[in-house]
Amino acid sequence: MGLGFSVALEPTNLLFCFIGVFVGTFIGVLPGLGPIATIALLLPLTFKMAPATAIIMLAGIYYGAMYGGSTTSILVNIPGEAASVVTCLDGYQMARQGRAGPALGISAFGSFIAGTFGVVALMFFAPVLGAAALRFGPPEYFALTFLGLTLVSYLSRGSVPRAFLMAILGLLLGTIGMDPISGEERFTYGSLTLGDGLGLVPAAMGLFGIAEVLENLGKTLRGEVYETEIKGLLPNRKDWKESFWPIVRGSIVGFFIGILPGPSGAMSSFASYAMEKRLSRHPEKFGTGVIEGVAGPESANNAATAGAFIPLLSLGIPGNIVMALFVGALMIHGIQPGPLFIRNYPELFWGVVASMYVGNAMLLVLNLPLIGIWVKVLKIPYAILYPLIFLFCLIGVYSLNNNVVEIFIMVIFGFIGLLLRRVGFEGAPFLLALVLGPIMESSLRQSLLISRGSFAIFFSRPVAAVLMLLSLTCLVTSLIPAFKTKREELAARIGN
Amino acid sequence: MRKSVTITAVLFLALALGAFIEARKLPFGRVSAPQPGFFPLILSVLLAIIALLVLVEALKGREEGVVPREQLRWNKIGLALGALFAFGFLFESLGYLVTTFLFVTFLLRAVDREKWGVAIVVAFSASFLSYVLFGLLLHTPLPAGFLGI
Repeated sequence: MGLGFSVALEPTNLLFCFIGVFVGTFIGVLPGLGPIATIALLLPLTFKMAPATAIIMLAGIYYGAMYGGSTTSILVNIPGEAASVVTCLDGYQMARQGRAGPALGISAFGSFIAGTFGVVALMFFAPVLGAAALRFGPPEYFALTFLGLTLVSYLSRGSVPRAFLMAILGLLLGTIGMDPISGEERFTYGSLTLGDGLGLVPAAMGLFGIAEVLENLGKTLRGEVYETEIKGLLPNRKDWKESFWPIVRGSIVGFFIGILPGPSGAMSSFASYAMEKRLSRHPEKFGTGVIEGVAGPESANNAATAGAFIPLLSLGIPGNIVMALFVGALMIHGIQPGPLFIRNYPELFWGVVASMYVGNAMLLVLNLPLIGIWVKVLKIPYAILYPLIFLFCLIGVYSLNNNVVEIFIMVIFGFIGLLLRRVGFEGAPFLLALVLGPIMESSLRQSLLISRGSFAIFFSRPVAAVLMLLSLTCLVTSLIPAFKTKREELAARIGN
Repeated sequence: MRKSVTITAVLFLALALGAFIEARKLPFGRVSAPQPGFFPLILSVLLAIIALLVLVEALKGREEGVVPREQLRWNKIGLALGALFAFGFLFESLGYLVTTFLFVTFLLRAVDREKWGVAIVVAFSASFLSYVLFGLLLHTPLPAGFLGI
């Protein structure tokens, strides 16, 4: 850990941690541009930096965005990003009652506490899991990726079959390029660009950046920013008393949900809200401006961001799209994530972990005084903002490989992404599948080679068997009508 | 809405078919020794099956998880898309600064009708500032175009 802090406190890293956290909060506050598009955008620019600096900054953006998202939720009733949806419920009501200050305050404090808890837990769990993962073989990896895709599809907003369709499409398009085992070229038709495969970054920026802005263009976005002065950011004693246990519970639940593959931020905040409501002595008051409804979910989603790093750092498998982008970032620097990551790159791992402590502290200090600025930012008319967002996407994607074709790929993905969204087909399963595809395929083929064609290998080994059973349970329950309505309710609330 | 889902499902089906045909050209191997064609072929079949499922569901009229959405102004979206594509085409020939300037001006004027003054000022500052940010500070190689800027 000492090693970690020595890395994290290096001036360059401190600076970029700050930049990351600042930018993260900024885009979290802005509706429309989320952490995914921003990280995808800044990815190519991290090439010139040292790997530790790059990851520190990108990580800062990720958890910074969680903070920023809650600001818009409370003040404008528009979630800055998916995980902050739940905060709108009670947070905005609190603002309307003149209690925007305490809402923002408890959200900041809760996030800090949860974030710190998450980092501590990460510190303990990641190496343990990494050691266990060394005994993972191809069948376990296949089962893990299978579970990941199943969960993401299961929890998607629209119908499960449609999400599966997107996931399979992602797997299929992931086969474009070089075959991971034999090196043969598939589906490239002589194009040099396709030879490298369909890039994650153009696809991510298209589906989440361009498509989002295009959709916003087509609507008229109006939200009332709560005009009253935000006085008294510090929650009072009563607030703290009421929020204490929600924060604790939110942190724990959030962290463990974060480890699971899938939209952990959103899932955890919703789970926390539901849990607080159920445990509360006055459940009917939820939705009218109860502080537990803000404290719990906000803590949960910050703890989840820490948890989400675990599969990446200890297994090398991304659990959600942001993590997938982190894989990209590591690979740009020639680092292969996997179980040996912690062993081979301790300075990087501990440096990043330590920076998360630092980042969380920065966010706490930053957000309280800067709230005024964020409110002003919210007032910039979208009409002026969006060409700039487009511009950033365009330049960002070009700077990857100086390839104009990738600009077109991004725009096409943007358009198709928009169309598909309108018809109820989500982009998240597609992107995750695009990234997990090669891992899934090579582990499948290797497993079959080992077992000489027998599929029993996925069920005879304990870890793989458990994961496969979990996935199959999801698949089956999504088909049974009784579970269907429950799942839809759950998914609708998360996705919306 | 039902019609759009049906059309989309059919398109997926067509894609699955295309993928199947293409994947056939690759060596399949055996289950005990899978080759490059193995995964894509199985995927294309799965894609077809689920696309059929979605198609059947849509035809039967059973709508699942549909969130009612407001109508979009497709003309604005079309304009924006046109601008994006144009950017891609012109980027390397006109050079970074010019293309960016035209792009931002067009979007501000044509899509949401900002005043000329606002549009020009924003476009100018956007091109200039982003050039400073990307070109100079971050050393991103940006095309100069035939005008040499």
